[in-house]
Amino acid sequence: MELYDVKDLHFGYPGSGRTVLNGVDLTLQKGEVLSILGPNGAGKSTLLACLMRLQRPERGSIRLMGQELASMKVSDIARLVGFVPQSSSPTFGYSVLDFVVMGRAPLLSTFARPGKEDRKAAEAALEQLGIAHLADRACSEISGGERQQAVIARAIVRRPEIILFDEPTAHLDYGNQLRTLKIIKQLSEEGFTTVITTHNPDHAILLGGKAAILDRDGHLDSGPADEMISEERLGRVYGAPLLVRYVEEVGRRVCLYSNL
Amino acid sequence: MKARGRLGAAALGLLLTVLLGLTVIVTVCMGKYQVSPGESLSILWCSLWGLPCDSPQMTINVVLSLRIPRILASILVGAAMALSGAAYQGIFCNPLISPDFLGVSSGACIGAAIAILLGLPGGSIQLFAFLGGIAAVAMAMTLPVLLRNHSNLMLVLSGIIVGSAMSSILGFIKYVADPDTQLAAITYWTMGSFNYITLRDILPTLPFLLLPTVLLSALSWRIDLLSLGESEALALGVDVRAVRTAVILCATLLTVSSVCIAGTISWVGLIIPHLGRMLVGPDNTRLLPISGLLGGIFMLLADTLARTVSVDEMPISILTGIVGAPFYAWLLWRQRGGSNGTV
Repeated sequence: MELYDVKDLHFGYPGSGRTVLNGVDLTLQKGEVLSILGPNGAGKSTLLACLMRLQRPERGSIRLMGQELASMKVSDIARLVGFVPQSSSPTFGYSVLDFVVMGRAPLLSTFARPGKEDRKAAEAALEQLGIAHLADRACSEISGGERQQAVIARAIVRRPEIILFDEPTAHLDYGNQLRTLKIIKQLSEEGFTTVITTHNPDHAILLGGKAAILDRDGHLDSGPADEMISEERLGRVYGAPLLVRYVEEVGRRVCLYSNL
Repeated sequence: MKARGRLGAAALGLLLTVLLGLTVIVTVCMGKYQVSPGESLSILWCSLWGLPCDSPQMTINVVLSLRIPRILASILVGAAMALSGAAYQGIFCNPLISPDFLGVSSGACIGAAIAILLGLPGGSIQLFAFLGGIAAVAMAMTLPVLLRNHSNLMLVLSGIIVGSAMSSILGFIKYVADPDTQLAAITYWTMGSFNYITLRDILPTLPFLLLPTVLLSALSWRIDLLSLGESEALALGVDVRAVRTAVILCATLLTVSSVCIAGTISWVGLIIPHLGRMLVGPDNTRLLPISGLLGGIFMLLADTLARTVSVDEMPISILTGIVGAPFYAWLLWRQRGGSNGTV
């Protein structure tokens, strides 16, 4: 089943004169993992923002599970799609549990408050991500890696069909990057359809599945990750000589810089 | 210290309600005309059930016509300012915002000043203040629509623009006002006072205090969601513009009604929500009721001080400023350990 069907999407920030997305076509099937690669500023986050309707495209169409995204209710979109922003630093120090409970909002009516069931779901999500011990801590006091996990818990607590991760590894150290990628892999094995944006080709190789490359002109190319990640293509997109080599010890291809 | 749990917050709410009741009993007795606690309680009890009362008529008048309306007004105003402050700080993700940042208070002052300048009778001053406050917020809300930019920042900037314009206009009105009579009356409005308040001043504002309070508590969890920032709230399925507009409308009604009762009173709406967050955490479902209670108690104490500390009545804003500024500094000092602005 097609979850997302994007056709001929055009987007440019008003007044900037630059086209960020230039005729993007993309489909996303249920259960797929999609890594969107591209250089800094290419518009990967903008593409996700369009998929979440945080930005409205100039033209082109986005269908979410057969419905025109532009005419959907904001709570209906949120019920189907969970969004993990690049960084979340709440002004107020909500407890991690309260923070995760907020992920239930699309399931509740405007005047409702979360109840026992919502708190139970939040506790289960914290458990799943292995951060149940943080439940009572203020989300402003925990580390960046822990907060990332709390944000992921907030996205899955309503069991959406799709989870969009906007540069989930951008602000994390090496260990936390690996942990986050593992979580994404587990979530996709559990049946969530996942989309991540990243500028690291290794992440696309590690996650497997499908890869899409967005270049500076706003064109998007997509296909199986194995085919998309090639020296020639990466070199062109990133404007730098890169090597893709098979490494015996890890049993997969890796992407390397050539020397300085 | 922090009563984070739901039970802890409920217990604290109960405690504060009792404390508020006790403060009322104590403050009824305070003032130049001495009334004993027993006597004031019996007067209250009798008047509540329409029973004949054996206290001297003078004492009954002092309690029922002077002190009780004044106490009621200060509690209502304190609670309303604290509530609207907490709500504003929540939806604008900014703990430094006070209830009048969209120009409500200065708008209301201009309304009142125009009525005074035109020599209109008492009741219409309140009405003009009410309309002036609403008009100022309407202007601040319209500017982002005209500029097609609906971000929080735009709204805050637009509030600053409207606020400064209003201050200048108010300055102009003061400049042309008759310094002997009108200027004093206008100054009374801008400094705030609960002096000469009667139940007839309070009653018309009651619906504008109660309805927004009910709506705000119904929306309190949505305020939590908005406090995460616009795009995160959108991604959580919140109709950001609708909820934000409803909250601004409620908070504006609360503030403007307070100004109609007692003029502009600074600091309360800014600091009380901080104190509330220190006690029960930032969750607005707990913060709003606790802030309301704290605001009521604080304002009642401040006003009692204002009417007893000297022979002459002291404008309330002087006191809230004297108490508020060091208190705010102390709060910030208490929070110095928190990382990236835990408030």
